[in-house]
Amino acid sequence: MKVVASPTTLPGPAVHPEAAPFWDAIAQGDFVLQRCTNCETVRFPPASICWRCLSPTFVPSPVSPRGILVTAIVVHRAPPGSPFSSLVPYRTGLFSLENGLRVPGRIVCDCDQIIPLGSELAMCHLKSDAEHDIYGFAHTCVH
Amino acid sequence: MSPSTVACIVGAATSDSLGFDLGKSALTLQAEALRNALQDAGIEKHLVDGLATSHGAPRGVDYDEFVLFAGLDVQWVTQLWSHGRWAATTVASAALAVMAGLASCVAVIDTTTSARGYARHRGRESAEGEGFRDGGGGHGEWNVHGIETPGEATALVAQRYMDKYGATTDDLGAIAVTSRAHAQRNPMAVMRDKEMTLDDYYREPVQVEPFRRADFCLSSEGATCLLVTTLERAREMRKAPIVIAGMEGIRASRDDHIMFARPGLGVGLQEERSLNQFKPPRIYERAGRSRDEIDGLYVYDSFTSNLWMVLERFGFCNEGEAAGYINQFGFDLTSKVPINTNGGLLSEGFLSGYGHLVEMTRQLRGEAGDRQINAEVLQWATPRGDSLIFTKAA
Repeated sequence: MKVVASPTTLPGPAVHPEAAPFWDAIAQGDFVLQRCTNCETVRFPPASICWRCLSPTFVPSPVSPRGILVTAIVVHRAPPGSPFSSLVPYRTGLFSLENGLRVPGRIVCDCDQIIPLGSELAMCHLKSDAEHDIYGFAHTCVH
Repeated sequence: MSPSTVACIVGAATSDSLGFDLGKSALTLQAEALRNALQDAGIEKHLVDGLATSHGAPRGVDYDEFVLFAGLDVQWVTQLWSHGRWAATTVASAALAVMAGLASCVAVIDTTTSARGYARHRGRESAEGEGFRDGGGGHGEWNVHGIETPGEATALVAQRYMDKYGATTDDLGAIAVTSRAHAQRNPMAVMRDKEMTLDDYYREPVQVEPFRRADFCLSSEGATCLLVTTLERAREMRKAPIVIAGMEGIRASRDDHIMFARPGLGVGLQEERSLNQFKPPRIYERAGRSRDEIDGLYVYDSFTSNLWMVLERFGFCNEGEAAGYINQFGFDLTSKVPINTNGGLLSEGFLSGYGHLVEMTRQLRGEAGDRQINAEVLQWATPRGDSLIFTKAA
């Protein structure tokens, strides 16, 4: 995934070492989930146990860094003190991955074009103010 | 204290006023609610021997501090979590405590305060930061992705519902307008003097699509107290007892993870599924009542779209049909099923749902004045599945 510069400082995740591999991969441009070695369930968000069988054993499971837009909202007024205040109006929402899992993500976009539901967007790597960076979904207008 | 099979409400009250910035501490508001509920029930403070609350500090009052300041002497207590989701659970806990003989009269008491009011004096200590949890916030917040508030997260729920079923912002506006009309008949309501038409609704700017200002509940403050005891003991008290006829808890599962979405809608991390693949509500069989007997419905309306979720989750209509149901039947005082006759969180004030339970008690006693409905069986219900049914005593 490509690195996209942001006009504002974005908040980063609070990362415990157990979840660090997921966020470390984002910085490498990869979206890597966990696949349970006991029941094969691929899970999101990253966790130390499988939500289905409670097994602690897993292997990394890279996913194509693309998502299909399921639903998006447009934030016109961010809450007081929000780091996103300077980005309004911005779109954020829910995406479906190639394996059917759904993940949240903000849409990084420089134009006002409506992005239809069902559109496929590429993930991008966004710098944050924390130790770990985050991902978003980039509209094709973003270079 | 002898065990009993029936618990009821014998006292119900709010703080002296509700508002955006009442200039009072959470302790003061909660003490007002206790005093008013004791007066309503016609009983002395020493008869209260149990306490159930949810918010606690910093936005409310922790149970231990309240016992200290209110001079209570209780032998059973529970305090849940600093959220507005616990109204049914605290009442159910109190009911179980009196039914089991752990206490004879439990005060279900809670205070919700506002960022514009009491919370200004408490700095930024609050229940923030859940959107930074690994699994996001309970309403669907993901701070790093710009979904920072319950309102933004619930806008996503409403937008998904509209995308999926074709409901419109007119349908959202209709919910806000009817709720406001109810508040005009409630002398305690924060918005009692603020009429609102659908045009007025649209005159407010969009906050987060599809929500405008009136789609959000009020950020107001106030306190409530409900006194719960056994039916046997209640018979000796002043007011007609209101029976807690059925109870159902919050449903918590991966499919119920988004607080203000019904399961299957597909707004969380789980796949979309038909609502009929999930277990139906149990409240009606537990209360020994059918859905058709419900004379009024009381919904946790932190956002307008919550009504859609409750109407479908509890089977008042089929999935995808709630906006059409409201178009067809409405929910004003003359409707088939009036909803939130107090004005709800949208227009009465933010009382975390306990205000609705006070209203249900008043309606069943016939004390609801200009907004009185024909009330024999009333239901509380939320998008997350918890519910209560109150009836008059036989």
